[in-house]
This record gives sequence, structure tokens and C-alpha cells, in this order.
Amino acid sequence: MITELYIDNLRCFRDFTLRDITPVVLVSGRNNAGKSTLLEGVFLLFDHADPGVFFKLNAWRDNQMIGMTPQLLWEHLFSGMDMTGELKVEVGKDGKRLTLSLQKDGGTAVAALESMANSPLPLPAAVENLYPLKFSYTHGDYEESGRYVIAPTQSVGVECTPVRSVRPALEHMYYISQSVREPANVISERFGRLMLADRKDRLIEALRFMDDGITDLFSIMSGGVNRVYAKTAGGVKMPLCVMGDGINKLLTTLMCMLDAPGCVLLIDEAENGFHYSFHKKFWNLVFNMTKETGCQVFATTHSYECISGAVEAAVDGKNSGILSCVRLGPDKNRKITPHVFSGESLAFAVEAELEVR
Amino acid sequence: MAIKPEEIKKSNIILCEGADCKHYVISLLNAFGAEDERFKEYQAMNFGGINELRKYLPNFVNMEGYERVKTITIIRDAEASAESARKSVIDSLNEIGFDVPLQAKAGDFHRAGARTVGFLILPDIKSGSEDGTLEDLCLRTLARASDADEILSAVNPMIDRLKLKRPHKNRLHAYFSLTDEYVALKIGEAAAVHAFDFGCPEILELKCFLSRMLSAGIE
Repeated sequence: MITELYIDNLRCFRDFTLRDITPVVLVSGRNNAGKSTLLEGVFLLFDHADPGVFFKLNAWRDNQMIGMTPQLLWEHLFSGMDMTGELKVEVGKDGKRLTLSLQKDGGTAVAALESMANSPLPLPAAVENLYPLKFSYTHGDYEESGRYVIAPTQSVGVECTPVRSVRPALEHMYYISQSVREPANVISERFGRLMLADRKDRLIEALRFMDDGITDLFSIMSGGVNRVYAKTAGGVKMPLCVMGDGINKLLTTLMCMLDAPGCVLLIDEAENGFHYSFHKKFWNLVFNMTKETGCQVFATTHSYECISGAVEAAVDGKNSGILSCVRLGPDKNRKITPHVFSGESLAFAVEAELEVR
Repeated sequence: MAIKPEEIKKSNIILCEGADCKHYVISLLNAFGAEDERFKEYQAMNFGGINELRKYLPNFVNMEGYERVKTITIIRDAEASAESARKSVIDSLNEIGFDVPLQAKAGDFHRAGARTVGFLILPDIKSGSEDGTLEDLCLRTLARASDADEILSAVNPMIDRLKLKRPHKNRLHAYFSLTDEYVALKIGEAAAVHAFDFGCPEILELKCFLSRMLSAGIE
């Protein structure tokens, strides 16, 4: 479980510290306060070994511009787009510190690339000296360092020099957002694992909180693609991907938690896709799943109804101790600072109808 | 209906005990503001019941807009003990780091870092040493005092005989219910339709205190 977070020089974050992080964290704040960036910072740390992490971050922001530029690749992650400074993300987790730092590198020679990720968009043909970005990563006693480079093959590669040969494994981390739909085969494969683990009924039980017409789930290969189908009242069999955004978001959330106990879920704009009446049920499911699977959830929101729903669910289920809300906002020096409402404080604030977003 | 949560909009905040007190203070500020624009820089907010101030304050300091707050005035009832009320306010402020001296009195104000904090214990604006509530202050400052005397002289014996738990509330609302203008109104609503004399000496004491707080906040 992540209990501390430190971010420096990542977009709007300078010398930002968050402590005593709870299993379920709501992240609120005005537009451009850094809510999504906080999620991206955590994801960057956990997924840094994959050079495709930069493409993922761009996809989440829907950066579908024609042609990739260095600014779009990784410059935009740095405060003021200045790569000469060190970008740092650090978490305290299970008694250990994990640190990732990134900085522009002047070197040009490239050793063996550990892995490659194909760019979804054409990379600039002429890039200064492979445009390397150096990184260092520590996980407890483990250390590694390396560089990301733009390889000639229209891809980004990473070369890495570990201090020890085996990088400690990390929990799965999932990003859930309205703008990102996982491929059907990924969902289907996950569903298959849950079936093998006899967790299908648990999944159906939870989905029925949203649509009590769902009576069964199964996977069908059709048109060369494996998809998950729902059987609804009246015997209709419908691919879940054509059902509403809400049911798909709920399905993804639940499947990730059941399939990867201990995972970290990053949910952007948690309220999207859900009718106001469903927020309490959703958070009730999340709290129960969190306790059942040991997962952790960071969820951004603009919605008072979403926050109220989380509070109601927490109070009813006696889960206030595992909930907190972090409001991000600039202090008088324009530095983004966290304002933390514990579960108990948040319950009071919502009952008093105080603005906590 | 969509919730419209309460936001911090101004830099001088009056935290009031309960909705009645908040709306009473809003009417006061409107009356003061008509003569002195500076009172328009105040915002009244409701911290809830007397036991909720210590839960309210940690949330208040985490709200957006708090970084702009220069003065905080707390207004609450003495209830059965003005001294207990004084201590309770000081404890609540100190729990979130305002460092108000334990011997601080109602009607004083204190610098707490970049902010000025002060508090009043009703019904006694000047010293805060009298037991009672906002309703007692309201009864003393009714706009139509002679009419009120006539009405209250008729209802007081009954109220005294019934030995009610909160006779001050009963007296005030009995007065309201025996007028055409104020019947069925809450305190805040009655204040808005000039049930109270905001020019009387006691209320002018309150005006002076709020004025001094504004000046302290500017320094």
C-alpha cells in the first residue's frame, strides 16, 4: 500500500508531499490543479520499465496530434517544459521507498536497448542526439539507471543498468478513465482468469448493483475477437462493450481488483458514466473490494455527488478510516499543496455542505 | 436538487453557531454595510451546533479560499455557562494551531500568524460573561420595544409557570407569534424584516468589534 508520495518538477508539482495516504483516496481540486497529473506521476513510477509509458500517458490525455514531437513525448512532463531540472516521483510503500528521477541526458552512445515500444505516431526523423532522457530508479536496496531514447525504428527504447539483476516486482497498476477503453481481448483474458479462479459469480453479484437484469457473463469469440457478453433479463445476450459507459467502468474496476489483489487503481473523474444515485453503491463496492483484495484506489473527481456518495458508503459500512479526500490547490506562492480531509472530517464537511472540491 | 456547498468567498469570516445566528448576522452585516462599505467584506458561515466547532475548524482551514482569509470571528451562545463557552472556543482554535492564550476574553482579538481571530459569546457582546443565548440578545434589542413589553408582560407569567427547558426561545417566539409582521418567522428572517434595533448600544458594540477586526486584518 502506498502511504507517502513526493513529487517534484512534474508539471504543476514542485516539492509536493502527501503523507498518511489511505487505501481509498479521492483527489479533488479546480481544473489544472494537478489531479490527473498526480495519477500520472504515480503511474510513471510504477510503469517506468516500459518505454511505452510515455505513449500511454499521452493517450490518456488524448494527444492524438499528427506527428509526435519531443514536447509531446516527454518534455511536457517537466515543470515549465524544462528538462534540465530533475523530475522526481517517490513513494513510500510497505516500509520501502521507491524513487524515479528523470532528467535530460547529453550522451549519445547507446548500449543494448532492454526493450522497445513502437510509437503510435511518426517520430521526428531528425532528433538531437537520440533525444535521451536519463532515469534512475530505486526500490529499497535495489538501484538501476538508464536512458530512454528515440530509436531509429520509429520507437522508443530503454537501456538500463541495474545494480542487481532482478528488479523487484511491483503490484499491477491500472488507469481507468472514460477516455481509455481496454482492448476486448485484454478484458476477455482477465475474465477468463476470474472464471478459472471461480470469481465469476462474485463479479455478476457486483454488476447487478447497477443492472439487476444481468444474469450471467460469458466470453465469446466473434469476428476473430474474444469479447465478454452479458446475459440479461429475457435471455438477451449482449456484448458488454455496447452497453453503457457506466457498466463498463464498473466491470473494469471490479475485474482489476478481483484479478490482481493488491493492485493500485487510478480512476480519473470517478463520477463519469454514473448516475448520481449509483455513486454510493459504487463506493460501497470499492470499499468492500478494497478490504477483500488489499487493493488501493486513487480517484479524481469534480463531483460533490460522487464525494457525498463515497462518504455515505464509508459511514454506512464503517469504512471512514480507509477513506480520505485530498484537495489540491495553490497556496499564496502558487505552489500546489494538498489539503487533506480524513474520512471522519469529510463526513462532517459533507453533512455541513462545505465545499471540499 | 443539486447541492450548493458553502464556499469561502471573502477574506473576513464570521463563523456563527447555527443557521439562525448566521442569518441574523447576515442581516446585521447588510444593515452595517448600508452605511459602511467595509462590512461588505465580511462573510457569515454556519459552523453548526456548539459541540461542532472543533470538527468544523479543521475542515474550514482545508477549504479553498482559506489562504485568503485574514480575520476569523466566532460567535456562539454562552448557554448555561459563558466561561465554559469561552474555554471551548479557545480549545477549538488551539487544536488547529491558532495559539490563542487560555485567558483570552470574548471581545478581544489575537494575531495568529497571518490571521486575526476573535470571538464573541452571546448574549453579552461587551464582556461575554453572561449566560444565555442569541434569543436573549434579540429580546433585549427588539425594534418595537414598547409593543414587546406589552406582549411579553402577558406571556412571561405563563412561560415561567410552565418551567420550559429553553424559556428564552419560547419568549422570543411567543412575541413573534403575537405580531402580524413576525409570526412564524425564524430569527434570521425576523432580522431581515427589521424586528431588531440594529442601532441600539449593544449592537453598536458588536459593530465596533467587527470594525476593529477589519482594521486588524489589514495591518
